Amino acid sequence: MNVAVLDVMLCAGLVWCAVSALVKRDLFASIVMFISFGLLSALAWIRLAAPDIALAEAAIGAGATGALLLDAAGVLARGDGSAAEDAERRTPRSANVLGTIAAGALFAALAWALLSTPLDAPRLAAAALTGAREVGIANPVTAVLLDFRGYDTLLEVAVLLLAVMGVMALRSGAPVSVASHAADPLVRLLVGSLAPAVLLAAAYLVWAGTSSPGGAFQSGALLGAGVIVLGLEGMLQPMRVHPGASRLLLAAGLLAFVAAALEPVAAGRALLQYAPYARKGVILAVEGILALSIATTVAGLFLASSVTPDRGKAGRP
Amino acid sequence: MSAPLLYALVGAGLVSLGAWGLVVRTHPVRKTVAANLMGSGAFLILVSAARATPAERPDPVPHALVLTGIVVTMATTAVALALAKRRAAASEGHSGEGASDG
Amino acid sequence: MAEPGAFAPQLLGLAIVVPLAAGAVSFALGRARAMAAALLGAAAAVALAAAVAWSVATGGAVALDIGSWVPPLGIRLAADGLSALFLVLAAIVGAAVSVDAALASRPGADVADRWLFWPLWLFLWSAVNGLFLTADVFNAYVCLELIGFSAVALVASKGSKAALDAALSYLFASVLGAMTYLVGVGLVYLASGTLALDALDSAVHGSASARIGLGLMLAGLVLKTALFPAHFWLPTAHSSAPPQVSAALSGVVVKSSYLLAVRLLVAATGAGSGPGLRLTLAALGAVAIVWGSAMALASQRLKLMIAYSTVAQVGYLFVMLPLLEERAATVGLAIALHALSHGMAKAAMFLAAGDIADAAGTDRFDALAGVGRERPVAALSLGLAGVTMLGLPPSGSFAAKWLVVQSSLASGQWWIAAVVVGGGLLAALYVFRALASLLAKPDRSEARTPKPRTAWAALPLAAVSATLLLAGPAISRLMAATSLAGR
Repeated sequence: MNVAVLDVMLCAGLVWCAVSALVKRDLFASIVMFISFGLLSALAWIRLAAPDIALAEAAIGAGATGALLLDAAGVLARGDGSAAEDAERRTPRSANVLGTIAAGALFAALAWALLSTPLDAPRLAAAALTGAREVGIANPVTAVLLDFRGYDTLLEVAVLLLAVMGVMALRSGAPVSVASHAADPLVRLLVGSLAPAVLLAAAYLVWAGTSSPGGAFQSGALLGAGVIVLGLEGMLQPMRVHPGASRLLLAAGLLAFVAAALEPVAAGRALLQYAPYARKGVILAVEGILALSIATTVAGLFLASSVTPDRGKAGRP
Repeated sequence: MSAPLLYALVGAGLVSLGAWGLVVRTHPVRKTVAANLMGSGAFLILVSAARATPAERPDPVPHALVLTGIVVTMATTAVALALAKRRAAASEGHSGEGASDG
Repeated sequence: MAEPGAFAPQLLGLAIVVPLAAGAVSFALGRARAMAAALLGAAAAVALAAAVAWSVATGGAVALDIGSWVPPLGIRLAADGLSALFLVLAAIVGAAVSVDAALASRPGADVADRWLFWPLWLFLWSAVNGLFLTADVFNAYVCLELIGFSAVALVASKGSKAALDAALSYLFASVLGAMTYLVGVGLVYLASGTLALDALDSAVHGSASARIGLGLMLAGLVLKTALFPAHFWLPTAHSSAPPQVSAALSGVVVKSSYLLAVRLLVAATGAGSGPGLRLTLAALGAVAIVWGSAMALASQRLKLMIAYSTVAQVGYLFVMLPLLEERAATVGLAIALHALSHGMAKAAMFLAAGDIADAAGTDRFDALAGVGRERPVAALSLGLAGVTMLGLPPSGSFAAKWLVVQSSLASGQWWIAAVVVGGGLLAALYVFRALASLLAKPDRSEARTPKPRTAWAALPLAAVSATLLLAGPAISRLMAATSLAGR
């Protein structure tokens, strides 16, 4: 794969967006540059033959992360601005200089490392591709994620639940931040009719994930993004679920994955060693659960941190 | 120079930029952006190497690691921003030591 | 497969997954039953740690290939004596923290409104167990992030402006550390095609790229472990968190990233981590001992003093590293003894400090006169923990310092002995200063309103730490199943 003009432009764009996102004075301009960065990097993933990552980046990197950043910037920019100024207090000049020198040194070290290693070493590719064929999972990335390194993914689901718990713990006692927008009836109609399509697309991605790119992460993120849109338009208020039920929903993904991990132990096999005859079924089930879990978490992270009002008791006197 | 190497070097640049931002920039939203950039740089290095691998398709192991990393980075973003918002609310003076709604 | 040892590998997986599941259940159950579920999970975690330690002591090191996928494709969990001892440290501190939090969560008390403490705490416990056991460098990254998020959320749970400020700076330091580590993992994979800790030595050999990767991984871990000068986030985070959280952070969490750093150094002994690297880390450790002790002595608040003391104690863990290659068995034992005794003593000090601050309404030294009489259990716990801080017999840190001084003199590195002994003297100063202010005659006679909380959990912790030498034979036996010599 030789360098094409497109690659050079893409790389220049990535660096430009990244620098702007860090140095622009206006917070919103920064975030817009960061979201553009996310979209450009989705293109870069496609150029690097990683369509699965491109989907995840578009949905999570640019989509959900962008929404979270915009929401936070909105909250932090409100009020008399004292908090924002306080947060923007200057770092000492010496720290600036040291930090810049350290970052430069880091770049030099990384560049040297990359230039002194052959990028095209074989590594684990052959083992993973052969392994995926042996277990009969057509998409090798899925095989790595949910079988060979399924334990990483189990912990990753734990990270997601942990993030929701962290956000909930932080929200408690804090004043309600953003009220939901009163939705335009036309927007409601549009969103309402889009929702089933998003749902279908997400379900398809899970199914397709076992054989081709797409899968739990992408579909979950897509679903979650759909819920965020619904939430932003204020359409989730009437269908807000009981807190206990929503907690159960949030924890269900991790608990189901734990059950899939422990069942083999009870049967005398190793942790996460699925029964050979049930492997495909279990992986498909875990993927579906994962998609739901990611969707509820992505949505939960966003809704818990911004839209849902806190019904808790008032603070202590 | 091959295209994967170009992308990998851009990844190295993003890592350094992100680290710079995490150290030097002060606003929590910008620090969060910096953390995301640093992560993207690391992912770019991994995926470039996966692309350069001589196999019938890219090395799936880095792809899986990167997918995990993307989700973890989003969790970082959510926690960091929730914390920044809570802190801003506390310094505005009406912070409560109250209860969650369970 | 009916032999008794056959289940031993499974214990490793369970020691991580069971507390994780208990945390998720505790979260799902919500405020009313979160504590009950979490306490059950905590009991199970303690039992599992004991079972792992028992099986390592009787049958030697244990390993589990998760999903039966052999590394480098799969992920391996491995427990030798050192990991087993760190699991036990987490279990002992974890039990005390859980009991203390349960006692404190009576209606009207500190933690009652913060039921999310319970699931967050079990996630933290599960993640440190995960980091103690993993033999895969990327999996360790995920564990590091889990530890970071749960620790930050727990620090922030206090809700005060100081705690939120501290949590924010902790979070960004933690993220910078984890990302730096991750970039290092990426380079190592690029250069070597493996993520397995065992394979690191041959990987790093002769590859500049892998050595840079190893350096970045270590740099990230140094930041996470708060080794001077990367300690800047620790004093505020550890001193402004709720007492149970401070205890867990100082007692266990800093040790988790430390253990991984030692594993990396050992795994790469043959190549990248030459004497220069160890010497650099040891020099930073020496500065940390002096700086941390001086700042502890200068601080006006009890909890801040204890937090700075942790900065110093982290220094001890690093200052012994240059001796590790030559005298792996002795120094390994010293690492285990120091980590264990300091972890328990520090956790006891934070729990006791929480009790004292509860009684006095503040933890400023100038307001603590006479509190020692009101809270004798807490004062006694602080005193017993002081035995460990000073390194007096029969504490574990006495034995650790003895072993380090001996090894350093024998190998001609007398400066290590000097730092270790000098650090003990500095510790004496700040510990006596704290006790003196607690036992001073109160300058006002008004009785404070007695509150029901007592540091019952701190006392046994401090006592075990101060008499750890009695468990010496068991610890030696576990460490016999450990090789830190590298290949």
